[in-house]
Amino acid sequence: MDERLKLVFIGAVAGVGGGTAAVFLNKALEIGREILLPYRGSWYSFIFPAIGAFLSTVFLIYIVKDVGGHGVPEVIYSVTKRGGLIRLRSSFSRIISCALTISSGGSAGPESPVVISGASVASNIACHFRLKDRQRIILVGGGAAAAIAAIFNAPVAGMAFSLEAIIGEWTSTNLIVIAVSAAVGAEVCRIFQGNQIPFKGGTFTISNADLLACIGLSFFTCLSAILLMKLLRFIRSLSNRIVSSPCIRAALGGLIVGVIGIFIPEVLGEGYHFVREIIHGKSKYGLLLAGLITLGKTLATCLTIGTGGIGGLFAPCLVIGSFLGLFYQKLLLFIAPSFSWAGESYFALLGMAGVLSSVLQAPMTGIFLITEITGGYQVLISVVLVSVISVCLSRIFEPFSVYHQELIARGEFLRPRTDRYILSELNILELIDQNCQKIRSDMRLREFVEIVKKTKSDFFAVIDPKDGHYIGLVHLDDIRSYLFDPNLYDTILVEELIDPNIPTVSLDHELLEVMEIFDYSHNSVLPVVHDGKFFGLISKSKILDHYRKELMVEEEI
Amino acid sequence: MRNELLHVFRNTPLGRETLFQSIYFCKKTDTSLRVYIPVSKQFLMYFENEVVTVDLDDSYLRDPETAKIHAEEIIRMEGLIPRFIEPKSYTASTLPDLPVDFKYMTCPRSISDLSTKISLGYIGPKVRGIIKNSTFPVLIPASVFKPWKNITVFFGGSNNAGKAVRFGIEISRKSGFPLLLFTQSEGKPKSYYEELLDQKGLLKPLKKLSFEWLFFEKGDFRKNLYEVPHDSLVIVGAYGHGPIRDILFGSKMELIQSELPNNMLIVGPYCAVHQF
Amino acid sequence: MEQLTIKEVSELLDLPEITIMRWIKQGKIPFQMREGRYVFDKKQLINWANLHNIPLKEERKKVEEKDISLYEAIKKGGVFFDLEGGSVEEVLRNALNLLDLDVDKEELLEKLLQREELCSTGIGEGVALPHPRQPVKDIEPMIGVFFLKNEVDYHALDGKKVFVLFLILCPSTRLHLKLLSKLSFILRKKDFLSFLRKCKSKEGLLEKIKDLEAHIE
Repeated sequence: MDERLKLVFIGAVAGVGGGTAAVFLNKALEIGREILLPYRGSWYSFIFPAIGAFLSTVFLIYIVKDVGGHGVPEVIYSVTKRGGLIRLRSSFSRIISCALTISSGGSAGPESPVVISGASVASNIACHFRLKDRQRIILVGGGAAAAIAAIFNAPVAGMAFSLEAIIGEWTSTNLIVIAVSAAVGAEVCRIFQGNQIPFKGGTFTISNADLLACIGLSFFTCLSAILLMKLLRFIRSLSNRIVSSPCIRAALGGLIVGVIGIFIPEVLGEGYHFVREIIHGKSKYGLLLAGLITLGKTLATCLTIGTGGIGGLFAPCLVIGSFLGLFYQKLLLFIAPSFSWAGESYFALLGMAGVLSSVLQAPMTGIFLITEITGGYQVLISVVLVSVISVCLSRIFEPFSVYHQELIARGEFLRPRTDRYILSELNILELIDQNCQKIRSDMRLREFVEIVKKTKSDFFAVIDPKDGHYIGLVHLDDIRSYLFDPNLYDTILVEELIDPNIPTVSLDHELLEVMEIFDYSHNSVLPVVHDGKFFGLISKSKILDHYRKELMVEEEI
Repeated sequence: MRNELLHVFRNTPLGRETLFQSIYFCKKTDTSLRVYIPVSKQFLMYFENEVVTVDLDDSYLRDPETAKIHAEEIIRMEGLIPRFIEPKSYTASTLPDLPVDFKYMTCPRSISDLSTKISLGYIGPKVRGIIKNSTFPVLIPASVFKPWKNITVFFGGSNNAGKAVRFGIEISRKSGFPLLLFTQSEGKPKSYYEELLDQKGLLKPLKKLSFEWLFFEKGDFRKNLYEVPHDSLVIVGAYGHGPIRDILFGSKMELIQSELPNNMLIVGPYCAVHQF
Repeated sequence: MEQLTIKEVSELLDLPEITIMRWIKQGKIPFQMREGRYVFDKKQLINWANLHNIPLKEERKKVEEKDISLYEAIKKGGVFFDLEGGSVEEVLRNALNLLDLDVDKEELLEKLLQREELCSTGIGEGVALPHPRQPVKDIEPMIGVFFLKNEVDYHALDGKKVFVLFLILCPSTRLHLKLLSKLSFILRKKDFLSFLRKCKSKEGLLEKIKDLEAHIE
């Protein structure tokens, strides 16, 4: 069978996996909600988020022995640096933890955990079929796409998210397999949960003034996104410093969220219920309340996720965005009450698009997702407008998406076909030239001249005859004058000809570090020495040759 | 592939014995020693087709302040230069990745269970996972350090066994210690195994080393194991004939590991053999 | 269907084997499995390389250039006595005509004269080492020794008139330099120079050369 066709088939299988993961999570959330429903009204219900967060981290860290974090950065890391390998336990661990966090009231979304579940399932399917790195990566992208596609019933958004955020490039091979996975994933979920558009709104009547007003909204969404990201980072680092045990930390965060929830119940849980209300025009909030809820939800989300709760940012962004849109609409009415502005649902929709796109730094995903989950194709222009402006503005202050920041902070972020990526692919061992002549340090110039006559190298490695260790490098360029002075032939030892300023490079060095050494030392050739033994030379020209070939091989046709 | 042996250090008296064995092995096979002192409870090893999560038992993280000092002391005492590994990549902030391009790795019988579980017959699931996927053979030391003076390789005719013989030849050459071949024939004559060795290109190098062949035509395999010298390094392939089974190693291998307390070098299915 | 091993592919692409192995692992290069080993279909591989613009190393037929000794070179070129000619050009032309060469001799003469114009090849003590500015393609290396009937003013470095030419013709610079180096070495010896003045037979010269050359090694 044609390789590509085979990959598409396996992609479909991965799609089933991703879709199933989403179904499981949805079911788990439902069950959690049902269990806690009778207790919602009681006075002690504010403690639920704390307990939920605590249990979820205990489960994750001690029982399954996985690590915290919503998981998308790990998928990106695996795709960019590890050929798409993801641990099997991640396929179910996050789902359960996330269910515990959210159903108890934690302010997070189910999307990111389901992404890593879908990705992990796809990765292990790929391993089972003994696929190589490149194909496994595409499959992982497919699994992630299927997960998003399933949980939102939005296959195009799933595809866009996978290509934009996870794989990072839109190429034709990627596209087909991932599209198939996404479609299959969405279908799987539809079989179990029906084909509904989650937030179907009504029809919209829009005037030009509304379009102009969108621009104003973009500013607000941009601000909101920046606030979310900065606050998240702040709470994460603060809580890491104050509390060392991850479980206690999560519980504390949950406690504060619970307390906020007493006053503003809208901040708890996913919040899709409220989004639906707003979209259907049935909300009852005034200007100030809407604004308050927006801020409250932002804070609650950062507290839940920043302290180690397991959940994603999609849902909170949608909630924050819709309340922000509501706030904005009320603001417009306040400023110009007689003007017939478009309804709340219109601005809520746009708010969601703006906030989501900015936080993810993924405008395509935001656009596709919002249009798909609201069925709002009429308002595509407005959605595009808000998304794009919001992303461009927020990029100035927060150039990287919330997922990439973690990786960048660790120095692990690599995009395909970039300089850093190519350099990280090459290994020093592939670039070593072992044709360098080795000479003993106690050799006299006379013998050395004879050797120079016979060899073709310009560089000679000087080795200590007693222990075989590398001492230094002799470069012909530097010693030309001595070579032709016979008076020195018996007085100079080769050891004295060494250039002391040539730094060495070891087999442990990453190529990026080697390039930096080349840059600051202005040498074109460096010796490779490991554990004192000389291995060979590494030259800039050879690196260039390999670099180009590596780049050529990376290119998609 | 670097010419190094990876040793994960346990800062306990048991870990000390394991370190002595690693040092001895390195000296005899002219390999460099690289020690990893665990910084977190888990680390990942990304092999070609699987990522193995190694969960470490608590004793690995005991007294981190003295761990490095103890390790250095022991290594220096034996005349080697202490060299440590700092993980450069992390899958998550508490999950370091270790490189996998080593020549050998030392693992105790169990790396994630309590030391009390380390006994004959038990090889922990993580260690099995490493053996199943690694391109390097795994050295499982005896619980107390004993310098081995000869090498016994189990040869049953399979490809894996052939690889084991290759490693045996290389180590015998480097260390200068005599090589013994152990074969339990299942009714087949010695010439059949000789033929197999010849096909794999092993007969000539073996003859050059002048090896001894413990060839058993009959008798219970388990009983015959008594003939393996007490001071022998045992080299055995993880799987014999037949497909790879996920949970257990080959039947002979399981018998060997439950009966022999010797230091063992287990050669997994993906082990790369260097041409000598 | 021609199949290649990893080694052959690495030579073809001018990359180390470990790079090829890495590309297999990463799925960047098309491969097949035969009996547990990685092999490559040659046609498929070449297509793939062309598609990606990766240059293929052509099998350069290594022209094994054999070293030649002075003795052999002179034996090939020949030893001639009483060469006619009163000027540099005349003697060179006559010398070329005596040589068994399948080249355009006028062109070669041009090249020899150009070289003389740059700087006389008369190295002193009556000896000249004419040679063309660039190596002569497609010939066997040779040195023609010509004893002149009459001494010629060669504009030599020491002003003395020249009585013998060693005409060196080689297909490569490397060989040329090697022969030149050996020749210059033995021409420094005073007793060889006096031998040359008295030399009357080809065999005698060859014997002497053989002897001297053996001492250089």
